Amino acid sequence: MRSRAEVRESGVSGMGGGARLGARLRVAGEWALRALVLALLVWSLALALGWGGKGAVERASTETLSEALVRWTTVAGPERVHVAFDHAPSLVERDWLAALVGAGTAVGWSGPSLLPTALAIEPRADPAGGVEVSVAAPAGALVVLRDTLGPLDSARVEALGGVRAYIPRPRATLDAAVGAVVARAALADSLELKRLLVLGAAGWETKFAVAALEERGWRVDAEVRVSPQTTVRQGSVTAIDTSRYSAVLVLDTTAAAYAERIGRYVRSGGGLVLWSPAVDAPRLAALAPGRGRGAVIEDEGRPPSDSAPREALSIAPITGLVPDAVVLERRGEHVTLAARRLGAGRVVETGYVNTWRWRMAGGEDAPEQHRTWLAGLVASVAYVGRLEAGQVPPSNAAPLATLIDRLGPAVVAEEVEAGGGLDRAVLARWLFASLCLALLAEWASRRTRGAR
Amino acid sequence: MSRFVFATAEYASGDWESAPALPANLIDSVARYTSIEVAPAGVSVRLDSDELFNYPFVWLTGHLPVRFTEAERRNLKRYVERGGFMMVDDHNHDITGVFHQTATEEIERLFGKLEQVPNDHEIYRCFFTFENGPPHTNHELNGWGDDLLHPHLYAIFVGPSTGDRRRDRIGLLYSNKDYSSEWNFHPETKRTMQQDPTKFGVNLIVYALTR
Amino acid sequence: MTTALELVRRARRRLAAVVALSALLWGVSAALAVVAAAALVRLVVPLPAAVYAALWPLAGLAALASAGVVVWRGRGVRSLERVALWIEERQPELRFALVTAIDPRVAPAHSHAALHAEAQRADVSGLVGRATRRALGRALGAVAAFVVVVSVLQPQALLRAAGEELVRRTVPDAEAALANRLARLTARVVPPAYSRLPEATLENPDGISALIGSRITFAGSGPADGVVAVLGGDTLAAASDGRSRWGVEVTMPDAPTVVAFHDREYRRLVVLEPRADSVPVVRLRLPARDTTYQTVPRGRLVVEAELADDIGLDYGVVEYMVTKGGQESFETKLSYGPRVAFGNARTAVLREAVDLDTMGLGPGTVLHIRVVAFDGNDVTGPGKGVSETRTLRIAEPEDSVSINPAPPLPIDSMWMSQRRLNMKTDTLIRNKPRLDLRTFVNTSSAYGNAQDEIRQRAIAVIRLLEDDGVGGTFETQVSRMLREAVDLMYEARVYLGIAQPDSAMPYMVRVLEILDEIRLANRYYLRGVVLPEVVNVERVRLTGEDPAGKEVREPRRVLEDVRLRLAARIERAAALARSDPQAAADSLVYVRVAALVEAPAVAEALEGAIEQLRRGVAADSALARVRRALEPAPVRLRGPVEWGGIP
Repeated sequence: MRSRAEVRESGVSGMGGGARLGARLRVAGEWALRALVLALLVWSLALALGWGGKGAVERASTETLSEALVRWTTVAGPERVHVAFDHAPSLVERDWLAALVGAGTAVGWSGPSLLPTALAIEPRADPAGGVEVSVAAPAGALVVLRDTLGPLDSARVEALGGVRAYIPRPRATLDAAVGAVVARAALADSLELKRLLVLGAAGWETKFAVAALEERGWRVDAEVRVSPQTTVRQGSVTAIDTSRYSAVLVLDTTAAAYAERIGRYVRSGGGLVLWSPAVDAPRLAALAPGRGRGAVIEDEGRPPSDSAPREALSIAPITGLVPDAVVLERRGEHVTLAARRLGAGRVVETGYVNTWRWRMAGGEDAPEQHRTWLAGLVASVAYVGRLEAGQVPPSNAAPLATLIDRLGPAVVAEEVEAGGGLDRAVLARWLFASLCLALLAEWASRRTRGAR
Repeated sequence: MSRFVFATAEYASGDWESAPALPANLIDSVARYTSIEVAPAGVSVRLDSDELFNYPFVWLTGHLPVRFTEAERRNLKRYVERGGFMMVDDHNHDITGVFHQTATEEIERLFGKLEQVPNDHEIYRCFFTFENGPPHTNHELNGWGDDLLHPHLYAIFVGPSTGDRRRDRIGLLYSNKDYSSEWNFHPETKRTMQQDPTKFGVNLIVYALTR
Repeated sequence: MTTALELVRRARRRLAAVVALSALLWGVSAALAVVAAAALVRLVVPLPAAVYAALWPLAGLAALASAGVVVWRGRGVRSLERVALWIEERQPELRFALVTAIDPRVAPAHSHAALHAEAQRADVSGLVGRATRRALGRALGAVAAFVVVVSVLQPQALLRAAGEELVRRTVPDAEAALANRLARLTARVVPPAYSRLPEATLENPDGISALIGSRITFAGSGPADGVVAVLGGDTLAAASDGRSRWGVEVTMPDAPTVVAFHDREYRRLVVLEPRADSVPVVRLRLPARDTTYQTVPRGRLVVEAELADDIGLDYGVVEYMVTKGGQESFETKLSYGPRVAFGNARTAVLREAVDLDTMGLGPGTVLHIRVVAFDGNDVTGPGKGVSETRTLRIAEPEDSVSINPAPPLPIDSMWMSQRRLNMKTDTLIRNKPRLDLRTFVNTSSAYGNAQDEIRQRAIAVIRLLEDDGVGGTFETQVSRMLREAVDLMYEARVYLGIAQPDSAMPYMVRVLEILDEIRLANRYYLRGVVLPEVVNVERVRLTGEDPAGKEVREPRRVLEDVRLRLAARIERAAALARSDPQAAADSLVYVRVAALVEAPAVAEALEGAIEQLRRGVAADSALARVRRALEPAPVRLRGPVEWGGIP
């Protein structure tokens, strides 16, 4: 067997001048490759031990976050990490990142496609049940409401106010998807409903208002004046207070005798729904959002349409609004629905004087629509008790807000770039590849020239 | 707002207008005994028109056959189901007569069998009290028509039942007693009467307005 | 001393036994291997019925094949020579002495003593013993290993099911005796005779739709003892047909229901969906519309109608009802045209011409015409379909209006009002000397307004009297008289307005005379118009007795939404679907029956979900769609959040 030196010699001495130079260059190149391999090894070692990590940022995206979290937690903890979200992280991922912060890792994140979204659901004061859903999102955003069975409804956010809906049959949780963000809310409590008290003169509006509320499931006490000495009664009106009634409905001035008691009831937290003709009695007007009412504008007898049923009804416009009154609905220049707070209670006044026509003369679903609308008036003022639900599923009602709360505000792209550093995983792969290539090249060069 | 307007049903096949003074008479009675806001004149409304639904109380009578058109049937069914109250009175006072036979056939075709109203139903107590059920009419007492004293009225009950027909809600009330003749006179004539026979009519209207 | 031949014979016998025993053991191993493999696969995926049926045969085949291989490989034990060679292979020191010694061509022992002695020195029993231990050891080891595997997998249920399936497929009588007699059901449906519809036979139906009154005979394999059908509240025992099949007959009821079959622990549900025989549909083409005749019509009137029925028309007839009379006295005559038979046709046209001269028509009569058709339904009674009614009226001669009869005009009230006004004006005139000027003038002016109000009412009546209903006007006798009265009222109103009641009086007297004349004349009817009598409500308000009642109102019941009730039932079944799909499917069958009445579209959607559950496939998305369809839709709310709730 020949020695290495002999091999080298034979490799070199057996050639001409030019070839000899080439062979020397080749040998030098091989030494350079060996040096490169050594350098790469040292660098890899440094990378593995986390030396010189200052400035290097570990990165992850939404897809790779789960495995990245495991790596960041179990292998050497990185000093800085950055996550690019294209949709909101799950609760677990969010909390895990927050825990990394607590462990000393600087966590930055970006998510330009994450829209600020908040979802709230409230049980509705309605025997038919259901919840009122409010979604806050940027104007123009498309909100998709979903539950465990699938999509429920979708709407685009107009200039103000977000999207609001009444969901008659909610499941335990409700999602609102706005772009890449999905907010989830859970129903945390239920309501204890009391009775309603209806006071009015015998007439179609009284008859059908009581009918609609009873059909809806409300238990109703009523006093319906037929003549000065004859009143049709249902239940007994002994005390008007919040232990007995969730709301009082006053259709006209026949309830004037109860005005003081009603006033005390509302100020102590009760709800009042007032038809505008009732304000002809000054003591009732004192409770109303509008102290006066205009002359009745009679309808034309057209059937109420499904799309705008109340346009076809007669109105006694609400006038003389008190300073704290809130206008809820108008027809042209006339105020048709207004509300106010009175003490701890709430008052809603309606200027629609013959909503019974909606039920009788409206479209196929008119009776149910009328019931729902009237129940909505009551629900907006009703005094109810709350019962907390036992087990409430986890929720994430404002994903972006809680993300910012846990991890701080988002980092813009330029700041990330200025922070410098390659992703360690990527660097490690490049180092390994370079190492292999260098080794392969050195070996190939050596073997092809006959050296061992 | 909720002013009561007395409506008479116009139907295509018969003499719906055969009791022209009845509306004014009952309007007068409602005004006399109650504080219900009431329109001073009645109206007539076609059974096949959308107008019908603007009048949740309607009176239907006649002597001639009652043969509803499809549109009239459709309207009538929807009317009663939504909460309207219809009073149907046989102006012939004759259960062998053509009005009774055809009207009951039409009603039962739409709603099923007419049921007897118990004589202690709340309609007999909702304003004036009628201990023995529906008051008899002069025609009955004088032997007109079928020469029978009809002790009951009949009804189509609507809505979920309480289990006790005395408390169930009436959507359509049918009478063989010819109140259309009994009450078809000028209201001023009441001044000369010892007993006002229209009081039961007040009960019908009060019942419709409050139940 | 044992000869070489006897040694080899003895060895052959032992080896043959070993081969046989090994074959048996390896056969058992193979069979156990097949069973173990099936049990392992069953843990992962459900096995189809065909695999169950094939399990026992497969195990047997494997056992036979395995044993066969062993026997084939040991077939050499049949030959002494082969056995001797086998010994020689293992004891080469014999140098074929044994084979030669047993060769019959070689001389007997006493001739070749050395050879036989050499041969007899072979350790045959040791060899055979070792071979036995090896062969049997391996076989026993295999058996033991598979026994352990099988005992871990516990395939008893598998084997039992396989056996039942095999028996069911191969031995019909034995199948019925052992297995579920409800597994294969046939239903023969015989519609009612009147329908003339063909009978049908359905295999394994989950639901049957047929005419009310159809006879349905269910049948299955096996003896009838113990098989019952529950329909509504009735329990029907199955009867045997004498050919080892059971049968039960039911009649299609008039409402959807479930017939539940029971066989020991087995249960099967079949939904019965009745189809009602619809009543005939009749469309009256002629006469085309209601008509009022000014003179009594003569000649022939054609009545024509189109008729249709879903099953078949029996006959049709035209009904004529002539009513005459007035005031409170009417008489009606009902007659029919000839009965026209349609021979069970599904569509037909009925046309006849009636001679109006024979109908007894006259002024004031009303003729109602309609067509009535009957189908041949003799189960729930013949279905009767009727057309719309055409009303033909003949006007009274004194009716001077061209269109239609109408109610009487409010002449009475106008007359009474005018009479009162005349009396009051007369009193004013008489009291003039005692009244101060202002009072006199104001009172006269007020009476002038009252006169004007009566005048306006009269003008309204004139307008209605003269309206021909097609945008034009024409005068009637009454309208002419009222016009004269209106003019006179105008004059009276002017005089009363300038405080000259005495000048107004003659006009007012003449007005009263005219109104009296009209009132006492024949009544005029204008159909389509009612001029309402106006009541002075405020004047009479609360002048009557007040009963001072305290009547109690009965509250209305809450409206139950049947769709929500169905949704709740489906939700409960959906919750059961994961743990027990078959029970969930059974629950949904009952919900579907309720939905057939209350929400037919839902019933159809449920059918798909039930089928998926029966096949063992998850039905979550199908059930979710159905539940969503039953729920009320969300309602958008408007307004500020704090005043939420209002749609």
